[in-house]
This record gives sequence, C-alpha cells and structure tokens, in this order.
Amino acid sequence: MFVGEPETGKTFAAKVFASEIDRKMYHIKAHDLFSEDVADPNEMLYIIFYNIIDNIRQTKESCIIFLDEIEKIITSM
Amino acid sequence: MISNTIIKNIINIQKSNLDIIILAALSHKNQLDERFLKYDLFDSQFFFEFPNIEERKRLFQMYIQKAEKRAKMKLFNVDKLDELVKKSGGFSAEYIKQLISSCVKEYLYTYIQKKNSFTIKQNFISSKINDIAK
Repeated sequence: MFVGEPETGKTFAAKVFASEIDRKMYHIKAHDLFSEDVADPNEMLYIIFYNIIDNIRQTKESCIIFLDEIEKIITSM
Repeated sequence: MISNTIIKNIINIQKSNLDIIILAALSHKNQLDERFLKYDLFDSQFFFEFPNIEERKRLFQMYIQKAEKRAKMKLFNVDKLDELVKKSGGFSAEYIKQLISSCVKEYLYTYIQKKNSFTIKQNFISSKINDIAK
C-alpha cells in the first residue's frame, strides 16, 4: 500500500515498479470507476476483477493490480 | 457496498495460488473505512512525501539541464539555484517540471520577439520562478 499526499509520485512509483519487475499492470482508477459512463461501479469492479483473474488463470502469467485512489473506491459507510 | 467487492476479491486472490501483486494508492488515511484496515490486507506500507531540499535541487538541475539542452542555449543563472530551492518548499516534482517548462516557454517567446534588440537578461527564469515561489 502506497500512502502519501497527491502528486508525491505514488502512481509513478507503481508504474516504475511494474516495468522494473517486468509485469503487466492493471490500473484501476476510482476516477474512471465513478464516471458517468459506469452505471454500477460495484458491478463494474466485480467484472474487472473477474476478467483479470480469469485471464491470469488461463495465461498463467503474473501481473499487478493497482488500485489507485483506494480511499474513493472504499467509501466509508 | 463497493468495499465488500474489493475485500472479497483481494482475499480470494491471496488464497489462490495466482501470481498477482496487489498495489493500492491512498492519499488520506483517515478517509479510509476502519473496517478495511482491520482486514490487514496489505503486507507493507510505503509512505510518500514531497521532495526534500536535496531532491528539489536535483529536480531543478535535471529539468533545467533538459530545457537548456533542448533550447540549445544557456537559460539559467546557476548562482541563484540554492535560493530557489529553499523557496520552493512543498513543491511536487510535477509542479517543478511544469514551472520550468512554462518559464522556458515564456523566455523563448520573449527571446524570439526581441531578437533584434537582444536585451534579455540571463537570469530571467530564476527571477520568474522567484516571483512564483513567493
């Protein structure tokens, strides 16, 4: 988990990390998840995870899932 | 509702033998649901801070060097760099980059316009950044 104020380079660090260890990175942004194009963010997230896991099972590759702005994805209830 | 989906999925991935690393970026820790932290889903935490004085100096040097190389001329008065670095506390790396590129653009624009009279001072950019840093 990367903790830090905006613009301190968390996303950049994740990208560098992914390219350094040579893995594909799935970048899930809260910003996209809650955009107007997505009717149900919860369902969208479910589909994203399902597809990634399905894909990894089939190809047996290794990957990184990067949950950007997680405080927005996990809304305090 | 959304937090359950994410927690379930993260736990599923951890239980499975799939080779997946999960990274998360968080800007405000107190905004996060306490219950989420109780699950302790992440092995380690890395803290990110704005660049300190030495890092800022290196950032300034790097971006100035790049800009001068691109413009193929001397743009910056290096003597004022330390003063500049001191004044730029709390600037992010991206902000420093933008600052230098906008200053260089403005400088070059003035340079082209006044090419005939040629009265531009060498420390234009440092004074420009000083104005912004105040």
